[in-house]
Amino acid sequence: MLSLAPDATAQRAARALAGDKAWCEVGLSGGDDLPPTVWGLCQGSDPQPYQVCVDLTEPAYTCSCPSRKFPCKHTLAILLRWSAGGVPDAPAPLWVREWQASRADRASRAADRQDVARNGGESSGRAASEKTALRRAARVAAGMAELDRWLADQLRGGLAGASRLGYPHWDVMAARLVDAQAPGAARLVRNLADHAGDPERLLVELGLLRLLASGFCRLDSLPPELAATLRLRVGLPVAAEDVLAGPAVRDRWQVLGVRDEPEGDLMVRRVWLRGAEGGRAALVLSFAGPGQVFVRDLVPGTALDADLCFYPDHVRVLIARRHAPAAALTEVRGARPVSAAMREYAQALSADPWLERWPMVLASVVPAEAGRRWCLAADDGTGVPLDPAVGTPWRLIATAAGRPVTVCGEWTAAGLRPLSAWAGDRLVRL
Amino acid sequence: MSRPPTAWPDMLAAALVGAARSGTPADALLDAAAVQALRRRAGVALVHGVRPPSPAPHDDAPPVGPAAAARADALLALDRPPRETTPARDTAGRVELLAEWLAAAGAARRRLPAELLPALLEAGRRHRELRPLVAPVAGPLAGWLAKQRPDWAYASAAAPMEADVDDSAWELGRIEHRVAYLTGRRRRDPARARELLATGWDEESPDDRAALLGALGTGLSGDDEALLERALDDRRRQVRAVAADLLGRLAGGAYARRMAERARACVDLGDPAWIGINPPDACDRSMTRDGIAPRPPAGIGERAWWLEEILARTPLGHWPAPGELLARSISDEWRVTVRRGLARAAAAQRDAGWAAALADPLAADVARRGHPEDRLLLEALYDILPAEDLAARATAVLGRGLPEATAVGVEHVLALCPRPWPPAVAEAVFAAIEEHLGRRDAGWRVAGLCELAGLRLPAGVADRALALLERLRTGRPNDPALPIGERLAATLRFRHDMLEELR
Repeated sequence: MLSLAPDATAQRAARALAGDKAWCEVGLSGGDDLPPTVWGLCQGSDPQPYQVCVDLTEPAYTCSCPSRKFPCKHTLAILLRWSAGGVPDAPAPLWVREWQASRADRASRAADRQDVARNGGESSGRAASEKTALRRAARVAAGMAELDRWLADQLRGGLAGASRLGYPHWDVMAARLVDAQAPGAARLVRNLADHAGDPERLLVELGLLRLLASGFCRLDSLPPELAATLRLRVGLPVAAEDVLAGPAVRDRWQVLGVRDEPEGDLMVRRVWLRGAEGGRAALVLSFAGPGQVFVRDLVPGTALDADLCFYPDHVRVLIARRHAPAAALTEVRGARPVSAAMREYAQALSADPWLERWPMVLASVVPAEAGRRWCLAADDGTGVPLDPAVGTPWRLIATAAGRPVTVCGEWTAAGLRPLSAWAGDRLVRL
Repeated sequence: MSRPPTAWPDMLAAALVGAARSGTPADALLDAAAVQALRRRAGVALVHGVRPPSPAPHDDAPPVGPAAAARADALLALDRPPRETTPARDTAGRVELLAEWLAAAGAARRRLPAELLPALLEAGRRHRELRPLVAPVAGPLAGWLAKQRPDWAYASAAAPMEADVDDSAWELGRIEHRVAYLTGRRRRDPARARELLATGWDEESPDDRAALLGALGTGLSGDDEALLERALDDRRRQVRAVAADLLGRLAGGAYARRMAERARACVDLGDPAWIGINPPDACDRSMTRDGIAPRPPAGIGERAWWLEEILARTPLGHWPAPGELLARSISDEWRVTVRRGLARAAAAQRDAGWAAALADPLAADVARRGHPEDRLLLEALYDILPAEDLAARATAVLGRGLPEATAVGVEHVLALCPRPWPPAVAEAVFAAIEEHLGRRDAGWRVAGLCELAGLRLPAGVADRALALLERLRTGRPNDPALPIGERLAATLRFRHDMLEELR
């Protein structure tokens, strides 16, 4: 519960508030017309008690206190009480019903807006936006054509000298792609600098960029699915409402791993999900600027009954609707033997050649050292190599203790990065 | 122009030298590379023939709960403390909190979750005092992990402590490694280690001689006398000082006899109720050779200083029992000198009986005169007293008020008391804090005491600390002492919650 807290101060404050003293009235309501809602009146520094209300399905919360933190300590405190069983069932007072009604109202209006967007909407606005889109498409196309020429130039001169080129060489092309409004391609070019010392890897990356650039030039002749993925990788924006307008996939989504990485000034958080029933992989991406913190609502080791809508790459998702609060995992489903996991990855790669990370859930593997490299070994002696940047995976080694465990991780070109392991009855973050 | 190569190695070779020189069109080479790139990425190079390690022994002991595990995780980050979650200000404080967690979990026969063990073994490697606490919470997994990392060998029962220093360290290592090596050898085979040192003695540099000679303190015996006597004639003063200190600890040796002879000449015990003093007239060569400093520090007369030096190096067994000797009268002129000399001897020879007898009169001296030298000496005496004795002393001195208590180093006594403090000590400390917290004249005294009290008071008094804080807050909301009280309450609350989680 406390992992929802924006910071530790709020956590501490919430713990202190969770007792009986501050609360005039608390209750848990819910029914046909009302999603399960915890509410309470908390006596704070104002004479008027604060009205705190939490919808357990999202979780979504509101509180009448002036705190800038979100969720505030009152919200956290009432959730703590609720999780400790300290909130009795009670009929919802009027203000709780009003809040839920206003939320339902807003949700339906948002849905309406989406419908409008999907069905065409007002013609004048559309015409203007179409013009912008056309202009943009022309710029991106020019940028990608330039990228294609640039790639050929790299090969014409040879890769032997690449390691001496330094960052500016790659950054210049990356900057031109940013100007061409192709930020996805720009990032791929910028990342080439990391592989400048490894010609083999560099050639692979250049080849993949070639696929991107030449594919973009004949976008119309590609199958629509691949074309959409390609546009996404180039960096053409995909509107959230377009994603949400697509078909939703409902499942009990297991939260199996979280990884934060800096990308420029931003921190990027990747939360990897797996459907417990359908076995599908999903990625929730979030960003935090300097000084911002991530809202921690997807906690590894829990599962969420929700509708997810997929981006064109079939991995990234938006959460369209939550049907129930997250529940703790009792087992990890969808784990595969090494060979099957690799087949699944190959399939994913054929749908999206530019796939950089893929979530794997490997069944019955043991961390073991082979040569100077760590890998996850199946019982037949085949090992999935770990990313050398991980170092010696001590936490995983200790968790497994030499016995086969289920490991969830992120597969990259450098190897697997373990994110969590299932140890008996709980998910251990690595 | 030729057709682009189809095999990956040829393609790579062409790409390295450049399309222009290899005679392949760049576009064609790129396309071929693109196809190969996809194939290579999809066909992951798995490692074959991996032999997993033999599994760790099974462990049926129950792990601690999730809250306790999360707290241990935070505590184990000794170097990059999550400031909001752990109250201790410095590494020493955090190590102490971790030690308390480990002791409580060990007493409850619960295990640390396996994934935290590497961090714990690492903490134990760097903080020796944690090592005895590792085994009960780690179980058999610790030994299994230690086998995979030599740094953690201390955690496997079979490994000797000196396993981490090998023989080459003696020949080639830096001086601290050589000292560690020699100390290890002394522990197992003192005679061989001495021979090793004696063989190369003349070739060692003076600094190294001083450092290495100190290793003889481990396993010291009469057999070492010859080498130590030789070192007394060393050119370097530090070497002579080390030798004199070690010889002073050999009760039956020639050095001890020489000192006792000097002491007998200075101190007349003929009258059973009186100590007659006749300090030396001069500091001769033999005295200097035995480590007596001829020049007194400022403020002390030459003869008094020589007397103190002789007493400090005379084996305490030379004197009657401490109670009997100290009960005798002595002229006021010499009382302080004799007491200091005996106290130094007690500290150097680690004699708890003499230390106990001397601590009170010395504490009275310190309280009256507040001489820093005397205070250090007093703390050295406290260091060798048993913890229960110290607890009684701390309680007594706190009863006389905080100013006097801090003057005689009560914090040092308290730091040496058993943890958590026994009820009497806890009550006395709490009373002192209650009386002084928020009093302007007592600010710094209380701050130090509170810092220590947060870590050492029984965690059960957390509620009392909170009540005290509330009283202070309502009485004087702007008091500068408020943060001190808040820290005390927060630390106690933290420890209270921590111990509750481990129940």
